[in-house]
Amino acid sequence: MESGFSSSSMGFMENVEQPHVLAVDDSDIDRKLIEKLLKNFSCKVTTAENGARALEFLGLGDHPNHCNISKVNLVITDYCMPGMTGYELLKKIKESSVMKEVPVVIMSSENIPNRISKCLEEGAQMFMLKPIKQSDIKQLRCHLMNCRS
Amino acid sequence: MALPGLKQQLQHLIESMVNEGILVEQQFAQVQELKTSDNPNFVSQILNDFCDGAETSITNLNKFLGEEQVEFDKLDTSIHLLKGSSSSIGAYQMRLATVDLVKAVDEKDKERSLEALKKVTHEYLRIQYKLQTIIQLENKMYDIESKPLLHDGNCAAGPSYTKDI
Repeated sequence: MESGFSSSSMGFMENVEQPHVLAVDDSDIDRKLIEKLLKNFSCKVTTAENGARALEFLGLGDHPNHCNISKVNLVITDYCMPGMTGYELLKKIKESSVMKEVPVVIMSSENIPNRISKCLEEGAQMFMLKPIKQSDIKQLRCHLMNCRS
Repeated sequence: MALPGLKQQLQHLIESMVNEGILVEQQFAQVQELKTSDNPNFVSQILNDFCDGAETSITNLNKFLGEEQVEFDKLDTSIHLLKGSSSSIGAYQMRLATVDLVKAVDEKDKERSLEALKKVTHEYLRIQYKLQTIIQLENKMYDIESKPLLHDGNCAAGPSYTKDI
């Protein structure tokens, strides 16, 4: 797994027994795989097939509402999606005053250093290379919950 | 056939696909390991989705590449889905063939793209046939495991797949 970590510690997932994760991917299969991976690690999962739907769920869409703010502990999104890329989704989340503290993890099938650093600079918590494995999710949970091994 | 026989058949089939070079063992194993007792159909669902998605993508690509003036931008989404899904389940040769298609489309080379798509289709059909067998075996195993215990002791009392992580 290729990953980059940002240095800020996130208290968001500490003490959360069943973190609620929003998983965004335009691929049906990858959505199902990531959902199962996360559920097997005790996460509650909502999936979205594109950035627009993800923003709607987060209450940042065209008709903003703040119903789902406190519910989402993590957003994990594919980078390459038609319409709005994962990077653009990341930016919109980080620009929002209410959602900017939510950690965002980017997934990509391509190992492009520029892409990785661009995402980390924009505030992504982690960058994960697809296909995602169980060990990646284990590491993700551990990192976001500040585990010390 | 009893459960152990089916499991063995499945194991042999996967081994043969790995030896043939069409399946990445590690990646496919990751998919299998996601199966849990509350979702024993998971592997067949994923493989069915894979086949449906691949066929849709290939159909779309044939349509777009069949046009007089090919709009290469329109091909991106379908190619991306093919490449991603074949990678996710470990369909090795299919993924390689998709990479060639990506290159041909990037260079806006219609002839090469059509050739590459033929190769992708060939690799898809090659693996699809065996994936369908995997699905059938998985379904048979599920049927047995979800049935109550028979007097000959062949069926489990309940699903035998448990995965507590």
